[in-house]
Amino acid sequence: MGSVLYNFSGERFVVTGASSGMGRKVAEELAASGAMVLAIARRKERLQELKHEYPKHIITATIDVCDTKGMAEVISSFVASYGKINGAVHAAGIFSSTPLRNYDESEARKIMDISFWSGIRFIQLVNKKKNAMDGCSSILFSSVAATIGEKSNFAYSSAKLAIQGAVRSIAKEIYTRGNRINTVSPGWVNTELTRKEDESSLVNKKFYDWHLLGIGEPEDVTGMVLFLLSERARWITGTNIVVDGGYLLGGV
Amino acid sequence: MTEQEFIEKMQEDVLDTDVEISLEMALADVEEWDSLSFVSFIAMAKELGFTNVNREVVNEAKTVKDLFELMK
Repeated sequence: MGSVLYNFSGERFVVTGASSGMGRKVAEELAASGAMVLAIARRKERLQELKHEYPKHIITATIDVCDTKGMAEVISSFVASYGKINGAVHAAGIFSSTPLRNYDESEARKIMDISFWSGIRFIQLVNKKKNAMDGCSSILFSSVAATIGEKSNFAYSSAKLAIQGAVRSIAKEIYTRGNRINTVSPGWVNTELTRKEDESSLVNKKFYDWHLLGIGEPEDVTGMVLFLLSERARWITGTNIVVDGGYLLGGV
Repeated sequence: MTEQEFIEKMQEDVLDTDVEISLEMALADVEEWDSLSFVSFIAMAKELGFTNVNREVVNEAKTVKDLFELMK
């Protein structure tokens, strides 16, 4: 079976949610492919580990993605030091159950703030002409939850579906400079975020069986992300790519 | 809003351009003044509280200065 190696030498990317899970894996793979990466997350120690792995290719910024002013500053500083951005990935997000009969509204709003609103602000920032190279590719993490509407997860499902709608609209605004934007919808991937949810025991165990190819690992999804960031995906915009091990087929 | 603040907002938020903008410029000569920047300008005006700025009055503007006058 063949393999794919990307070469992002001389290119610059910004990744949110870079301290763990798929965001971290995207940052690692971009760095390993020669790119300069601004890795953004809240957890300083985790970011330092990442920086330690790829000292010449990872620049870290410890910041909350909801801090609009701070995000503008760190992106502007990165662009001033290394040049305009070729691509951006919004992987920051939280997962928490919100059963209709008794959900925590502040938590539900936080899910929307981090996944959706901070994602929109991030995309606005990175697509500004002063920050982005022409042809800049942006990717936001959606989820299969947007399609299937998982039980007790209306806030998460809504936030992830909202991202898809926004991307279809934004694609029509940013195309003039060749800029692209897409969402990736993973199925259940073995990350810190999903492990926490497993422990809460709210996940229907059938859920796992519906992943025909088994539960995914971060690298099962990040290959698609790197492809969408690359020049080979230059004709793909405004769409959602499902990477779910067959989950949405609904079982055998 | 000062003239300088207005110019900066026009360049970065409305037109999203590297080209330097001046109040004297004719909108017809500003390449980035298109349907998207048109609605972006109205959105910016509304955000700043100028609710009287609508499609009709913006359509009548011929220069950047005409747009600035709407923000007073």
